[in-house]
Amino acid sequence: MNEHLLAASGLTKRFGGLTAVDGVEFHVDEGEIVGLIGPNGAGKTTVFNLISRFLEPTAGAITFDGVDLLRVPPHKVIGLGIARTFQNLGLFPYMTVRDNLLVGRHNQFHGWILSLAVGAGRREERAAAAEVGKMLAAFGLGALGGAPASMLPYGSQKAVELIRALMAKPRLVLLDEPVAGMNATETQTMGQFIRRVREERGVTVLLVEHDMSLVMEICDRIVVLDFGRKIAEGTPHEIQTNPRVVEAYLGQEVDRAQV
Amino acid sequence: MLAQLIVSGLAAGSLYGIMALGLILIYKTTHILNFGQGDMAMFSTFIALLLFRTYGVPLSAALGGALVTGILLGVVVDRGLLRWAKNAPVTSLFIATLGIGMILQAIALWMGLIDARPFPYALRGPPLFIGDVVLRQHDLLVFGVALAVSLVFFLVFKFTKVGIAMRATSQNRRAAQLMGINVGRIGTWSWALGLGTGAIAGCLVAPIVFLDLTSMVFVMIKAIAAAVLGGFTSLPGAVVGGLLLGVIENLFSGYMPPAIAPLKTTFVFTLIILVLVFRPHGLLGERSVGGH
Ligand SMILES: Nc1ncnc2c1ncn2[C@@H]1O[C@H](COP(=O)(O)OP(=O)(O)OP(=O)(O)O)[C@@H](O)[C@H]1O
Ligand SMILES: [Mg+2]
Repeated sequence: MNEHLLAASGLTKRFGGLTAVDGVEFHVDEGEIVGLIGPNGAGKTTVFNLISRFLEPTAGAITFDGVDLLRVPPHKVIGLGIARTFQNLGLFPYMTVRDNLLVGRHNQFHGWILSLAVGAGRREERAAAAEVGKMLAAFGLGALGGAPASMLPYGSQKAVELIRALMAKPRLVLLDEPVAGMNATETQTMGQFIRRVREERGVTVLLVEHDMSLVMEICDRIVVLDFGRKIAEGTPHEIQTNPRVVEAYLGQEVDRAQV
Repeated sequence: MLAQLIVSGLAAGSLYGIMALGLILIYKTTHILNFGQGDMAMFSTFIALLLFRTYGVPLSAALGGALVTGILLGVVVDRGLLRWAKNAPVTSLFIATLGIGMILQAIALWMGLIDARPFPYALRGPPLFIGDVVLRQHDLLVFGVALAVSLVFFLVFKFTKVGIAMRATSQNRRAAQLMGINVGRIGTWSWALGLGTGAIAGCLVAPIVFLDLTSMVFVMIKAIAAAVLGGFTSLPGAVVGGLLLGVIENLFSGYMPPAIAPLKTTFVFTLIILVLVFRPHGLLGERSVGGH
C-alpha cells in the first residue's frame, strides 16, 4: 500500500438511492500522470470530492502517502500535499489574479493570523516571483496579475486555477476538466504545461478530462469509470482498444442521440 | 438649514454604517443574517453601563469592556451555539440568531442591567459652530469612530492573513477550504469582529436614545436597510449606504411639511425598493458570478 502515493479501495458514495461511486479501487504512483475518465455522470468529480474530503464516503478507504485521508478535515488536505482545480471554476472572482495566487500560498504562511500576509508573502514571493511570472507568461497572462479573476476569459481562469493549485507546492494535483471550454491552441498549451509540471516539479497528476486526444497524449495510465464502477484500467493504447470502454462511450452517444 | 440637515444626517448615517459593517461581515463569511445583532449590541452596551455605574470603572475602560464583551459574545454565539446546529439550513439559523437576541434581552432583565438613567457621553462639552452649522461633540466622536472602524476593516481585509482568508471564504467557501483555510475558524473571527463592531455602535447610539431593551432595534433595521442600499455584500457599500440613508431621511423630515415629516422611515424604505428595482445589486454590490 505504502508504495502508492494515492490509493483508494472499495470507495463507495451513495446519494440517497443513487450510487455515484461504487466500490472503486485505484492508485496513483509518485510521478505519474493518471487519467480518470468516463461518460457524464460516471462519478469522476465525486471521486475528487471524496479525496478533497468535501464528501464523506459511504464505504471504503483512501490513503495518501500511507496516511488515512479519511481522518483529515478538508482544510488540512492541502497540508498533506494534495491540491485541486474545479470543474466549474473555483477562483475567488472578485480578487485579483495575484491575490488568488497569494491565497494559494496560504498554507505556507505560518505566521500569526493577524500577521501581514503581504509582508510574510514578500520574502517567499521574491523567490517565487520569477516562477509565478513564468507560469502566468506560459499562458500569456503575464500582464494580468492585477485584474479581477472574473474578468479573465474562461480558459485563462482555468489556467490561473492550476497555477494557484501549484502555489501550494503540492505533491499531487487533481485536475477536473482543465481544458473544458478551451480552444485547440489553449488546450495544446495546457497539455504541455501539465507535462512540464510533472517533469520540472515532480508533481503527480490525476486528470479528469473529456478531451480524449489530450488524455491519450499525456497520460501514463488511465482508469475508466462508468455508472460509478471501474470498468477498465491500462495504458492509453489498451484503453482505446478496450471494447467495454468503447461500449460505455457509445452508450452515451446513443443516449444523447435520443435526447 | 441644508448644511445642518446634511451634517446631522451624516452623523446618524455613520451609526447605521458601523452597525451595517458588523452585520455584513458576519453575513459574508457565514451566510447568516444576524437578526440578533441589535440585541447583541445592546447587551454589550449594558455591560459598559454596569461597569461604569455599579463598579465605578472609568468610562473609557467601561467602553473597552463593551468591546471585549462583544468580541467574546461573538465567539460564544458561534462556537457555543451555532456550531451545534451547523447542519441546519441557513435560514433556520437566522431565526436562531433572533432567539439568541431574545435570550440576551431576558438575561439583561434578569441581571438587572436595565438602567433608566441615560448613558454617559464620552465626549461632552459645548457644541462647535462651523458657519451656522452646529456640531455636537458626540457627532465628532461618531465621525471619528466611523472613520477609524472603516479604516481598520480596510486594512484587515487588504493586508492581514485573516482578512484575506475572510475574503476568500466569502467568495468561494470550498476553494478556500482547499487552500487550507479553516472556514469554521474564519466564521468565529467574523462573529467576534462583527459583534465587537456592534458593541461600538451600541455605545455610540446609547447616549442619543435612552438605553432600554429595544433601543437598538431601530438602528438594526436601518443598518439592514443601509446594507441593502449598499449592495449587501459590499463593506464600503454598507458605509456609503448608511451615510446616504442618514442624510436622505434627515432631509426628508427637514423639508417636508409637519404632517408628512414623521413618515421619513416609510419614505426611506420606499426609496430602497426603488433602488432595488433599478439596481438589483444595490449601489456598490458585487454582481453574482458563477463559480460557487
Ligand atoms: N451532491 C450530490 N448530491 C446528489 N447527487 C450527486 C451529487 N454530486 C453528484 N451527484 C450525482 O452523482 C453522479 C456522478 O456525478 P459526478 O459529478 O461525479 O459525475 P462526473 O463523472 O464528474 O460527470 P461529468 O463528466 O458530467 O462532470 C451523477 O448522477 C450526479 O448527479
Ligand atoms: Mg465532473
